[in-house]
Amino acid sequence: MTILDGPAETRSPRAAAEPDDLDELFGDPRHPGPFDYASIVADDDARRLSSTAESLLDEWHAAAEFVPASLGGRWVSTEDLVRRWRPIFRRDPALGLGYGLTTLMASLNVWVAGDEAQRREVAVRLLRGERIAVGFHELDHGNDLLANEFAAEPDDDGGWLLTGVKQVINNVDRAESVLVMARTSPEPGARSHSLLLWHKDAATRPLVDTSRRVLTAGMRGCRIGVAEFRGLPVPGTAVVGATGTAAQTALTAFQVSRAVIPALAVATVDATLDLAVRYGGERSLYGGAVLDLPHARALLAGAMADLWLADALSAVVVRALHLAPAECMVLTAASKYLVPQLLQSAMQDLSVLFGSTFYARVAPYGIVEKFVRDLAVVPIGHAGSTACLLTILPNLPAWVRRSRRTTETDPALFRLGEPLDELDLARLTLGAGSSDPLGAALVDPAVRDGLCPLATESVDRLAVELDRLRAEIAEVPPALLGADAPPATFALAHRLALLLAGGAWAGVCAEAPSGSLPDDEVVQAAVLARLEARLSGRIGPLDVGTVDHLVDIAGRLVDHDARFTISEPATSSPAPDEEGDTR
Amino acid sequence: MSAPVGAPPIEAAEATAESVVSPERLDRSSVAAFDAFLGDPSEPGAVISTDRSIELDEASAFPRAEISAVDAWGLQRAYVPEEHGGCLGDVFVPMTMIRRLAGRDVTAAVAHGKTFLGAVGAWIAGGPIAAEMAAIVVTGDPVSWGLTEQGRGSDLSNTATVAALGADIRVSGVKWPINNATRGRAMTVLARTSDQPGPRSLSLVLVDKQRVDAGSLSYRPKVATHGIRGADISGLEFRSAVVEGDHLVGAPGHGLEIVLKSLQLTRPLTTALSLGAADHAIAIATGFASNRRLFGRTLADLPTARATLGTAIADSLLAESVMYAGARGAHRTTEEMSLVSALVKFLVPDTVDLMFRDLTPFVGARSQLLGIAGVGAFQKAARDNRVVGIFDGNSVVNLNMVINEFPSIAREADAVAAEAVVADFGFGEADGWVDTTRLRLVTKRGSRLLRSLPALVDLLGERPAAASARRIALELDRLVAAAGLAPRESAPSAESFDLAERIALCFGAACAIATELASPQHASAPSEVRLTAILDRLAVRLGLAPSTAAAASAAALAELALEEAGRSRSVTMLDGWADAA
Amino acid sequence: MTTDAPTIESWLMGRVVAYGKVDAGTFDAATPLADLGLDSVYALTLCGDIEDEFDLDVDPTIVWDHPTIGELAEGISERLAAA
Repeated sequence: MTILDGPAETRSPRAAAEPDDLDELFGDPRHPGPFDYASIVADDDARRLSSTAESLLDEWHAAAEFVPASLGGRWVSTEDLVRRWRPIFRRDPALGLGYGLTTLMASLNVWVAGDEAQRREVAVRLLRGERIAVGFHELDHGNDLLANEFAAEPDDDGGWLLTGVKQVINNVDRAESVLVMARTSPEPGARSHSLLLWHKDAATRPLVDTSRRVLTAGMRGCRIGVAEFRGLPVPGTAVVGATGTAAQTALTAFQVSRAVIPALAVATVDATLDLAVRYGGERSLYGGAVLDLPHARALLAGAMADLWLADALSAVVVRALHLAPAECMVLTAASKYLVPQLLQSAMQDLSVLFGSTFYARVAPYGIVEKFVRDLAVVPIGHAGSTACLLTILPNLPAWVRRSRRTTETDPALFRLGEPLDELDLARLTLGAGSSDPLGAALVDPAVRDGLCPLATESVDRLAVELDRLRAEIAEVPPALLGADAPPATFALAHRLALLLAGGAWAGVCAEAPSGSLPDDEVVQAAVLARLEARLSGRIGPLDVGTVDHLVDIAGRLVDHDARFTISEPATSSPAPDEEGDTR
Repeated sequence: MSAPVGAPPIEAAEATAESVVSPERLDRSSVAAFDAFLGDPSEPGAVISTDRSIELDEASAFPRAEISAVDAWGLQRAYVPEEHGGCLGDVFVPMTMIRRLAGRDVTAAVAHGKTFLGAVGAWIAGGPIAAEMAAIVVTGDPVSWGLTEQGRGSDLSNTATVAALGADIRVSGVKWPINNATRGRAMTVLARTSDQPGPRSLSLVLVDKQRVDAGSLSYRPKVATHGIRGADISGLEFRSAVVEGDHLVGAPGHGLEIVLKSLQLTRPLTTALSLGAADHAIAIATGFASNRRLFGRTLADLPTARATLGTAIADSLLAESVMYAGARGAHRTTEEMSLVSALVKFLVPDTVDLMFRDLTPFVGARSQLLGIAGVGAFQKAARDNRVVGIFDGNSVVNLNMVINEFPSIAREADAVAAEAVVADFGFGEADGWVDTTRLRLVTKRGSRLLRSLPALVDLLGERPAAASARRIALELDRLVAAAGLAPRESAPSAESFDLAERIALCFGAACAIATELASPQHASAPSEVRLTAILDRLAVRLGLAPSTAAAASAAALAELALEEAGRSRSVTMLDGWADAA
Repeated sequence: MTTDAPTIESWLMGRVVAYGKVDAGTFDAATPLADLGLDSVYALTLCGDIEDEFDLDVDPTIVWDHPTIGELAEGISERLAAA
């Protein structure tokens, strides 16, 4: 089954015209304009989202991005969705979250488990610009969704009465609909919760108080609130999927959002790198520019290496939704666990580079302080890093068996930007799948042959590490793979995430177009060196030659107004300088 | 939609001098009195209530009532040496009080404590200007420190503000961004007093706004900041402001020297702010761990959560030991403070910042929220702490100073008697104010404390904590050798920075061991748990052991902390300090 | 050990050349040290060398107060005489 089922499938997904580039609609945020960095900082201070930007997104039909093409929307390739939405995250992550991401998260559950009528209704609502809030979170239970207490009691005519409090819910006040997870059985376990979709209307609105706003340190502009349900009646048709299947549906839908969110957050660090190079080049300190100082140069280079690894892992995992969906439970958890960590590490290094300019929010770099706060929310909201590791833990033994028998990679996984068919959510599973598509990249000769010599040495060491990890996991008793697992077991999942990232990077490098950043030998090796340092526990500086090379690249990218990311086709090529380029 | 936070804050009742009873003298026994005076921050009526701090921060409003109350209690007397009529002797006394204040609200502590920084140059300079400064400080009027100028970062030698010396002093220039620039009564201003190049062309001038034509002063607006949002971080412009000729702080041309020596004392002092932020975070995390139920048990029952909590506590205990070492160093190894102050000032904020980053996912959504009862303090403390690593020289500046000392660190020196180092750390030692004439701009042989690490490790004998300690001592040997070979560069390599950072971590180990050995609880079971967790954690941070190797000792420390929390106590390396003298 | 200024001066010249920032013969005792590329880092190095050579306890401020090789040699000589 695909979500193309139904009459709408007559419409070709390719027919959907590529919408305008948001980068162009928004304009350069560094230059004065209605949605420039200065206005974003001011809106953030005032705890609101840019009304200009929200209007632009409305006109752009942003919510159509989340509606599968088969249901009349623009969503075919998830990679394209990420690429089109990244301009938002280059300017204001809070706008990305506050305008629409939670609508994506909510609607995913409907695409996964809703019946035909529900899917059509939600598609129509999204296409006319409505929002859906995700009413899952209860502050007392955090990521332990199965402990949630919010209840749905059956009423007399086949419907349900909703009672309880949902906290920290984005857009709960202004969304036209709320998807709630409610307990429909007192039994403990995974079959006691159901998803119910409440479309607000005049009659039922008074039965839910959504007026209380919750303030946050990051994503300050988001309208996050509390919803108190006081016996809200919803019809039987409000249940999405069968009763008792909330966990199953959510765990499937989460895989898409766990893949997409880290990939979007990469863009915020990309924008910060751009600002850091500009700051470092113009700010004078001790008689020179900041970027003349070896220490600052090493910080920049390290942040670039972290960004590239984050970009490669998140991009490959987004492609895996389409190309290796059965394996995505582990892959998306690894991405949502590791990518925010890498991004935070990069932001930490860059904030040191900015020094007091980070702390005292001074134009034109005041936005950096906001980016740091906004990104700090990413590893917490939605699926916390521990929750992601807990997803990986029980799958470890199965992963070992799959990994041992997977020796070949699917090159399409690593060909970033190649077209993808519409996502088939039915192929996502709740297990380890049948192969190890990323670990295999560390051992597949086809990948190895595509790498530069410096990188192959690194990849060979990672392959040994992969073997060692498999052996160590094989020794762990299954009883130690739950929430009460000891730190040593969590450390195994951490190492696995790093090795999967290494595989993603190796694969991307092997398939990199000639002349692109991941085709550059020094870039290939720098990212792997940094990864190996992470595995060893202490991250030292990259060597001077590598740092110089990366800082040169950074300068060139900024000079050409090009992006640091590797997962997007370059709009303007950071062409090598005339006198021979080493890339 | 209601907005629970962000409305103009309700003014708390201002404490008046009459209603406050504070001790005649401020010594270590007064710390408890100050703590009691500040009250329970969870109570709305406390001098500093957490809820109000969060409101003020959200509104970027200055904690006016809070600071008035602290002024009325007279904390500022702890900033003035006894010889100038104040109560300042052992520098750890004001440090501990500022820690207590920061434990409630870092913004308030920054606002109040800044006067210590603004004034200390006068204590170093001595003479009539010190008496003048003392007269200002004891009243509770804030003194700010005018070092930085726009676009010059940490680079003081480029100071452009000019003070023309004659019968009077005419000051022209802009100091920005300066803590308390607007609300401060006086500012100690670093200014150029000669056209000659070089460091002897800078002098310090005490500008008392009460004695200067207000028309020659103007203000630059408050700067928006990441943390301490309510603080008065602003700028002051002097337009040929006329100051009395005798208001130089120290001799003409000695401004930079006095500033550099002042920083050797203020750097350890500011780490008290980090400790306050850390105390705040540890209390929240410990409470969260014991109350939070996840997957059918409390968070504290989950082994990995226990290890995470214990690791954070180990970090905070390391920071506490290093802060204590900074204070002891100021009194006992004053001539080494150029290095010690840099090590301390790098290590404490960096460690506490790391602790916040590790605890953030642990505390989860609560780490980001405000406006819901009982949360909000964590995110504020996390943001506030980062300022400590920025002002008075950021981590890069401090590591650079350590790098500059590499030749001294690597120079051959006589063996150190560890017992003497431990004696310096003695909890019962009551020192008078620092003999600031012993301050030097560079050490001869690095830090005695750092060099004593192997000997301190020997004193641990076969105690469990010794295992990691020995590895760290061996690492220090290698690092010192590498430091001796490092090239001398005005812009040091990233490798040198990494080396300096590792040396600082080894220094941290020496601080922790010396503090433990000097403690009245020395070698008791809880003491062993604390020290082992700190040293295991340091070995991980140095890359000498995998993170899993420190998990067991971290979990044991978390258990200790949870037991102590049950008795409404927190874990500290300094049990007994308050009563020891 | 010698304590006379001219000997100290030539020793200092040798040190400065050894730091590799300037060539011998391109400067004299009256050239400000700052013009010889001797920033604060080299000032620290120079202090260490002075300590080792003359067993004299000096702070970098000696270079601040005696900003040329000639003046510095005088300064060292005076301190040695006073010691």
